[in-house]
Amino acid sequence: MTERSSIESSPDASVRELRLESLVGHRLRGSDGKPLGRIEEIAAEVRGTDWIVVEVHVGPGALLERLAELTSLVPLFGALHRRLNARHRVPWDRIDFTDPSRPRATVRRAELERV
Amino acid sequence: MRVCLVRDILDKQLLDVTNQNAGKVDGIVLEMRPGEPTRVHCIEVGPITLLRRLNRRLGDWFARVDAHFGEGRGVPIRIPISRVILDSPSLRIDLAVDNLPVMALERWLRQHVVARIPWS
Amino acid sequence: MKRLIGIALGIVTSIGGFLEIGSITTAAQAGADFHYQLIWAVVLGTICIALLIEMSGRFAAVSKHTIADAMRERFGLHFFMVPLVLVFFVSLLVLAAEMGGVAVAIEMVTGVHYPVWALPVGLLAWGLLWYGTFSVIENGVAMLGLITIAFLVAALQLGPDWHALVSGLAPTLPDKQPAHYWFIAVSILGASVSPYLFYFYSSGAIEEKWDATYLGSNRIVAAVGMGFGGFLNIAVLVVAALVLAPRGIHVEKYTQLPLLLSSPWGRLGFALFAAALFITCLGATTEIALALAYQIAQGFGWNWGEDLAPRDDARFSLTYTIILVLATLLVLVGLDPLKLTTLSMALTAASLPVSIVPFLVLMNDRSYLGEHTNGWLGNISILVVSVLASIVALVSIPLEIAGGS
Repeated sequence: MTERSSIESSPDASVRELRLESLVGHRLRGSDGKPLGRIEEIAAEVRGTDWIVVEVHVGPGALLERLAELTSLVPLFGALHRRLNARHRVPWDRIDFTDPSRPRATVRRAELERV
Repeated sequence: MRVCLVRDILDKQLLDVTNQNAGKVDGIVLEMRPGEPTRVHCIEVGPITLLRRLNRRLGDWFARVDAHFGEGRGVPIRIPISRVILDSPSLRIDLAVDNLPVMALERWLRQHVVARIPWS
Repeated sequence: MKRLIGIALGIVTSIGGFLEIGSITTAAQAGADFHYQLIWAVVLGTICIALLIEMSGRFAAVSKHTIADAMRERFGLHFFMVPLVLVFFVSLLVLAAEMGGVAVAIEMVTGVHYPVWALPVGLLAWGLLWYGTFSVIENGVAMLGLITIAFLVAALQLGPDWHALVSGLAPTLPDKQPAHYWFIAVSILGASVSPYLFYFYSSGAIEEKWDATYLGSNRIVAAVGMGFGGFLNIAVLVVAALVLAPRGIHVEKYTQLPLLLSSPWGRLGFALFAAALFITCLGATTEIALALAYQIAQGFGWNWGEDLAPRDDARFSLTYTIILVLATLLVLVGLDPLKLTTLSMALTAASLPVSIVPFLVLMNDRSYLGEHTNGWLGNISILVVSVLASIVALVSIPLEIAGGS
């Protein structure tokens, strides 16, 4: 599938551009090939005018999260809501974006920290 | 300071130096340079980026149409991230939107359509 | 003192703006076919819209965001587009129905068939929006809408059977035509709970620069204004039950509608009905056209504002222009205004969950509302009503279409 391709050509061939909005929603696989979840958030550290990308949050995916939000409307469903909404951090430098439509992490699910 | 790009930046309203609406953040471009950490390069505003998110072909078609409207058109409008100011809860750019292509359609409609309607 | 005038004005405009072609037609059909049995649906619809209007006013006053603006920011592009597209198309049908209502009102007076009036009506509504300001439209048109109090006077004068009327407050199963009964019930709900209203209302609150100090007056305006509006809607149903039902008239043609007032009051009543239909439908036309333009402009981050001159928000102004053109075309092709009305009201009901659930999620988001988020009772009641209405609508629309032809 090429329609989600997120690389743009750049005059300097060694510089690669990634589109954040096309990364979001992609399934991220761990080093053992098992899915870690879908990319839902990308966090950056602002240092002056430099915005350094530091980590990715993976979760159940936007659709499931939207459904989970429904449960937040009903008071007793709080626990279910937190469960459905679980997100994990993956450090940016542990992800391989060689093929941006198939990003792959160099960690396993068990090593991840909860957001 | 830590910023969540999806929650805090993407799809958020932009205000310019004169407090005018400058569109929503329709796209965010990250830049990977060998041997350097990945940085946020710029944000993109405007229908080309927006439509490409909904459907790649629709966006490309719009870009081709847009290209006929003058020099520098037909490509997504980029604003360097260094121009973006986090002024919670709003998101500002330290540019005047009137000088940006963001308002090109607005200007065109104002001059060519609205101006021709009497007493407008 | 200024605040008191504001509250009074808000209440008056809510009352004057409550009735329109949808609520008049559906209540008239309910009264004609089922006497007082469907009063509960009007009451339920009124409570729901009062709650929703209070919520959207509160949202705008506290967060300084309009609903459409926040939906895009909170849910992202894709989840913003789904309700946008759905509300857009359903509301476009409702808009055409309202413009049809204005055109029909002119036909009643002039005798010239309504499609001829599509273009003048479109131009009139467009002229109001293009050259007028928000307060001229909202206050002026809605104030004139107070003419609909005529329905309440007629209902009282005709003297309803109060005992039967009160028993209609409790939902009961019909002893005939169950599919038709439920179809009308959800059409009534769709007519009162119009999603465009909360886009409109929150935008109005931003245009009038509300802040948290408006929360009290917002609550009063929503409760009292919508409450009285609901009484007017019940009055239409009662009049229909007293005037149409005994003669065995089922509302099948829009030309039967003026009977509601002409039957008790003769020529004067006929003129009153035409005037009421004209004013209220014109008011609703401008509201819907604005609401859809607000929704698009805010979702895409443009300049917007009915108080700005069109040259200062060209994209916004041309958006409502195009919307009015589209709706005018729908009237021009001569779709039957009555059928269009009932169908668009039922479709509104069917689509309620898609438009209301994201709205409810926003109303529970502390990052926008802080301590002013919804209570669980409000959440659950709106959620249950919209889901039930949608299910009933989806079942009864095909049955009604199959049975009606």
